[in-house]
Amino acid sequence: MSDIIKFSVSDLNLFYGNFQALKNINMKIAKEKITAFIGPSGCGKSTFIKTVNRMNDLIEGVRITGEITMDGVDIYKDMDAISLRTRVGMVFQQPNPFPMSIYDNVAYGPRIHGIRKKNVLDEIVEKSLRQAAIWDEVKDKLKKSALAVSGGQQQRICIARTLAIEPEVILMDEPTSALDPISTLKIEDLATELKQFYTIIIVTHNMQQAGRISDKTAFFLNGEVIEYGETEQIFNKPRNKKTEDYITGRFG
Amino acid sequence: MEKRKRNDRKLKDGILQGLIYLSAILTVTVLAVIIGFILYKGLPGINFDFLTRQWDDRTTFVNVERKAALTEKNDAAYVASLGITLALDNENIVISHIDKDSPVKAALNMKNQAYVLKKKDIITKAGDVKIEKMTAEEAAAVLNEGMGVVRIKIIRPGGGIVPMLVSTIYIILLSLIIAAPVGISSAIFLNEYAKRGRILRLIRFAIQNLAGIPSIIYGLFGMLVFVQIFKMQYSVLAGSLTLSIMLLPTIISTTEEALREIPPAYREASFGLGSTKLQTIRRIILPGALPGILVAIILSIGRIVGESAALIWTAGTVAQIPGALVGSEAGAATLTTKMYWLIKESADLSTASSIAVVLLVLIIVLNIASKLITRVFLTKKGMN
Amino acid sequence: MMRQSFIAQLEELNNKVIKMGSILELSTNEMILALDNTDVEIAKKIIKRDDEIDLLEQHIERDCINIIAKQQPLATDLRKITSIMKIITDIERIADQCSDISEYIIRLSKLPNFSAPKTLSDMISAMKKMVIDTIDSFVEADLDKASGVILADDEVDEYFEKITQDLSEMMQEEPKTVPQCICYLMIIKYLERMADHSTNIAEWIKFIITGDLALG
Repeated sequence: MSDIIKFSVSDLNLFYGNFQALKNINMKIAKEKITAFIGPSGCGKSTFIKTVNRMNDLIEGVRITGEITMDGVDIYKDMDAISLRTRVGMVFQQPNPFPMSIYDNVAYGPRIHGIRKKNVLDEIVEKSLRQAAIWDEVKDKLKKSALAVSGGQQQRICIARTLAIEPEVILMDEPTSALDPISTLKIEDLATELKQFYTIIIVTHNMQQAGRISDKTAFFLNGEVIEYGETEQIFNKPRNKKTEDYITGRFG
Repeated sequence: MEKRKRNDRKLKDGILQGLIYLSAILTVTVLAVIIGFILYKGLPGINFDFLTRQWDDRTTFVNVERKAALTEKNDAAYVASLGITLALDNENIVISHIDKDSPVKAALNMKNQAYVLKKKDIITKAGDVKIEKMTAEEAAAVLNEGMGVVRIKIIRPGGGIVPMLVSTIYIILLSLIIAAPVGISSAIFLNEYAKRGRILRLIRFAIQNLAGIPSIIYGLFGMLVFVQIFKMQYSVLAGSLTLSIMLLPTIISTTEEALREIPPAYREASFGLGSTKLQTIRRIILPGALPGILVAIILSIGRIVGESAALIWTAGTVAQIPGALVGSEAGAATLTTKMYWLIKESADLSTASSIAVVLLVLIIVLNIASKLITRVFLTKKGMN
Repeated sequence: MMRQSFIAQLEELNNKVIKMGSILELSTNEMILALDNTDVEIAKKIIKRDDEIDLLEQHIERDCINIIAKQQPLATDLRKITSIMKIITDIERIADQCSDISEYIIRLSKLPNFSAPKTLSDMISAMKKMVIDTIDSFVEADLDKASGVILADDEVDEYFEKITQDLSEMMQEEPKTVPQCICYLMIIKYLERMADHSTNIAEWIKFIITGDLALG
């Protein structure tokens, strides 16, 4: 069973001014799988995930060379950032719902993309919240502020907000680092649920998390991909000594 | 040795603490004295008339159609044909009561426009008879003589601050209509669009310095540019334009502050959902910054209300409700400029103090409003 | 319900162990049948089936390692997985012994007829009960059954001593039967080992259920 390739990254380099944050990345990311990026702080994993939906465009002084294609289309040359980001949604480290109601949060994406009809929005909001496994918890307080629920619920609302724009890919940048263990497991379960329909890329500080949910794992160090392979292989029999040192906690 | 050191330190601490307390007490005392003085001087002058009357006395001739006496009253000061009662007030014949069906309510001035007589209007002439220095009864007798239309000379007493109040409001509204959109847009540009670098730093530096320039310099500029070059004369528009320029730095920096307080995470989330910069600004950033912007506007209103130097040479000191934006009809003294003028020209300290009381109340109300707005928005944003 | 994929993995692992157990049960039953009738065909089948069990053991081992690596099992989950790794070794050993006995059945078939000691069938049924009870106690997580298995081991040991004595006497009385007696001596040793491994498994099942390690 060979994987369908969603993203193909070749010779990707990224510079912040004179500092090279990503060095010659080559990687193929499989469709409808969970790919995890692990590595110590500042290793470039977050930077890399942000190149996939071009969030780095927003930062001044960033220069990128090389190529990333999604379904064979170059996302930097042949796609504009706005339409890319509607296909590649993102969930952030800190739950960051907007200071508005739960409903408005989830409806935000559809609204900015021109959906105005109340019944259509209602449908999208319910579907997204259900998919994010939070509907039952918030269905009675959709008009309440999204900031008035727990951190774990906020994060699932943020996931629902991302699902509402019907992306093909969901990027998760350390989505559970600010959450308690139970909320973390809920988000992990959700991710494994969602991978039937979405390609998921997750950055995590938590190696065990990568182990629990991902199909493939890439180990980043100093802006380079040291090792990339099946998660089982990376966790049982890493080929590179640096990977071994990192996942066994003998790093640094 | 150790003990002496400790005692020394205690003494130093005591002296310093004493100085700090003394400074605080001094400040509070000075403030209390100022406010007390203003209230002491100004409060007696404040009454209903002061708040509702025109500034200057106004003399008018009116024609009144007399009626056949409908009601008779056992009062020698009652003018049956006009349905008014007269009284003597400060050696003036004054209307003290007007009947409901009185014909003076249909009085017409010389241009045939309605000029409704009011209580406390002074009557100085009826037809050709001067009724000054008469008693109320004598004047009533004069007015009751004859039939048909009578021409009456009326003096409506001034001494109120209505023109200044209205002018102040006009200038507040005009200045904000000009300054707020420009200032907010500039702040958005500087915070959201402008590329970080030397030019941005230069612009910020300039704005900070503009905020520190004495207002009289803005006044001078306004007089030269708006009043003279643009030939606006002393006018409400020239004054408002001058104030707008003066307010811009404050509005820009306060708005920028508010924009900077919007967590970057909101912007990220919005962009991450595929919204454009404009959509993000309109739907996320502006609503979030609204309380800050409102506070900036209220602070601006405070400055407008308190401003005199920038307005004396641009809006003038004429106490009138401006009839136009520019030109000779458009002069408009605000409360503060009138206060300045009063002290300078007539040394009328008590009227100036009365205006000061009104200003004090206004400023306090504005401050409370700004606090309330911030609090309401903070609770709205937070957990509810 | 949380950690659904992990729970599913545990379930699958459990099923694989049960499958391994049922194959062992089949081999044990057939081995007894083959021994009774000195049936070479069945004996060959049992030897062949041993590969299947070996393969299954490797699979389960790999699954356990993966689960430990990826899911960080704790408490009951951790006990279950580590115990399973031990249990499958013992199951594999028992299966090995079935095929070892089968080898001797084949050897016996080539020797003149010999009537085994009477108590052998008692030992066989005691051992069979132990194996089957062990597998059942794993499936049902039955602490009493597992404890019963551990107690029954002494009984099998006694039978072993008794039959060894019998065979030794037979060999002295009738030296002709020495080759057959040696075969049976080996067979009862294997049977005794099978009971020992069942006891081991029962100990691990007790550990899964109670969390107490049998020391000493």
